[in-house]
Amino acid sequence: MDMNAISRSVAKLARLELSEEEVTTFSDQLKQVLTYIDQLQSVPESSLGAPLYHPLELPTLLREDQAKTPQLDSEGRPSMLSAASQTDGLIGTAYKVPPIL
Amino acid sequence: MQSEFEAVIGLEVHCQLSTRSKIFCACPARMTEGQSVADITPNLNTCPVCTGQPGALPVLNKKVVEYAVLAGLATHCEIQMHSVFSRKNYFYPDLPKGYQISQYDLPVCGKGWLEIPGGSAPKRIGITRIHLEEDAGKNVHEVGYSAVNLNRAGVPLIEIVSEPEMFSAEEAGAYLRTLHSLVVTLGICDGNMQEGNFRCDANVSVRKRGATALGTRAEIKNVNSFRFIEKAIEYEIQRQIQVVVSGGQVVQETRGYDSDKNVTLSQRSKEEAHDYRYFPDPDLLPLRLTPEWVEKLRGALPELPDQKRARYSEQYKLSSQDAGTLSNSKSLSDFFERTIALFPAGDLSAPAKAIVNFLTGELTRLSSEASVELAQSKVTPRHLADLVQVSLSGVISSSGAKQVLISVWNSGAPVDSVIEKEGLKQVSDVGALEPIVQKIIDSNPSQAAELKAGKEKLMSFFVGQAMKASGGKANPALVSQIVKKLLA
Repeated sequence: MDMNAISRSVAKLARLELSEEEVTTFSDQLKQVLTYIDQLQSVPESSLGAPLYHPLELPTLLREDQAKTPQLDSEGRPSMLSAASQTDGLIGTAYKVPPIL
Repeated sequence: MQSEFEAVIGLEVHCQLSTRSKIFCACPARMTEGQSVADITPNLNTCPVCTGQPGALPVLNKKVVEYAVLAGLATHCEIQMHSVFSRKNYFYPDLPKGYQISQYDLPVCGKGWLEIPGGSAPKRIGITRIHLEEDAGKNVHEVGYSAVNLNRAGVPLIEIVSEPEMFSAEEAGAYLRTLHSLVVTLGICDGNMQEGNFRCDANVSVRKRGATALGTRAEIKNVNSFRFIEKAIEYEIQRQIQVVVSGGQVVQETRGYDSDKNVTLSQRSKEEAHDYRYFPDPDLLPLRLTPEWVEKLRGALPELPDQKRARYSEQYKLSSQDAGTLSNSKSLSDFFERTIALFPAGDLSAPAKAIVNFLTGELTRLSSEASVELAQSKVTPRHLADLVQVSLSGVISSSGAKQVLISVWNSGAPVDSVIEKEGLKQVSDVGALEPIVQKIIDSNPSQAAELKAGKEKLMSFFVGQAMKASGGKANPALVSQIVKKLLA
């Protein structure tokens, strides 16, 4: 298992830029985590119960299907726009982001 | 060469559920009646939950669960009493949280099936699963930047995944049409493909006929019409066969369809394929259903297309093809039901057949030419019932009936007055027809002699001449009776 390659792949998926030194550091740490997981894998399945998907043993709450009227700010624009970058964050009422295509 | 190969197709269909609010928040999920998504102010229908603000928590919409269960019941799926929401992680500007809430290893519906019309008998296509998830927002790509609109983010979706059990583009098309009519009949999806309510991804592979292992597949993404998806699949099958025949290997990739050129183009290869790093969403507890709740929903199922098809064959003696065409279209079957209801009880097989002929023939043609839905046209079930009545009783000829229908389509005038105004009433008066027929016999003595001698085929000649002489108004059945009488 090429730990350095795995570290680079995870970093790429997380949009992180790693130096070669960092790749080595994290590869060592990652290896320890994976070794620990291997240890868990060696526990016989028959000794385990059903997988735990959530620590609370409660079912989810449900909401009735009622829609709220959209919130507007004092200028009559969608109120969520205040969360956009104040300098170059909007085009009309859409969020402006670097070109995708 | 090509018949050595067979295609294997599996489909993933995303249906937007027609709830009032989004799946995890109370933002409106539907646009006001008659308004398209494009008309809504970008980001109007958004809140901290569907824009992924820190600390905002999702709360599941009960109606969304019910709609997914209805879809599962109608497709004979195993309904799971315990299901779990997972995070599907990927980066894209239309996904504000950095993950989509979806279901992974424990979806709300497990294995089921759907029957599609086939050559001689219906064919059963397996359904792998149906799961719940949230829709993403929409990006508009401009020069130098992209604009993100999150009105669609958090709109509820069900994804219906089929088994790879279709072997041609036509079968894939039949599956989609059947599924579409099902979700529309259930009232859980608007089914407007142009608006993206009903979207389809197709997994296509080819293999040597007789092989059991699947070939490497390509995925065709988001094609927005039945016709285009069939064409895209057909193109992709031929492309893959060419690759294999010329000694190459099909690559696992995502391909887009260009309808102008009728080709599929590579968009993303496996090397760049996403690693979604699914894990159970800690913000949402498992979804638990109860058998009582599921049974209550089962009781609320409307009559489904396959039940409707069986009833039409039984009750009105319609052919399986006619019954299938009607039952697979909500608009046609609704119009049929409202029209046949105007006839007195009894044997309705003759009017039923006539109604189907008008609906699937002339009315479908008029409706598609004018791009007007039947229900929005000027033709009412009353018009159609009246038209069928006068056709069956011989008041007007079949060509006259077509003419009346076109007139009614344009004007909405009552059938009686159209017949009157356009002088389409058939002449069924022996006294008026006899002199006409006599004249034709007199001027065609040799044909008359041959017919009399037993050359029955010549009857159509005399009927045709009489129709011509009467300006198309003669009742053909009556003409042939008169010819026989006069030659006797």
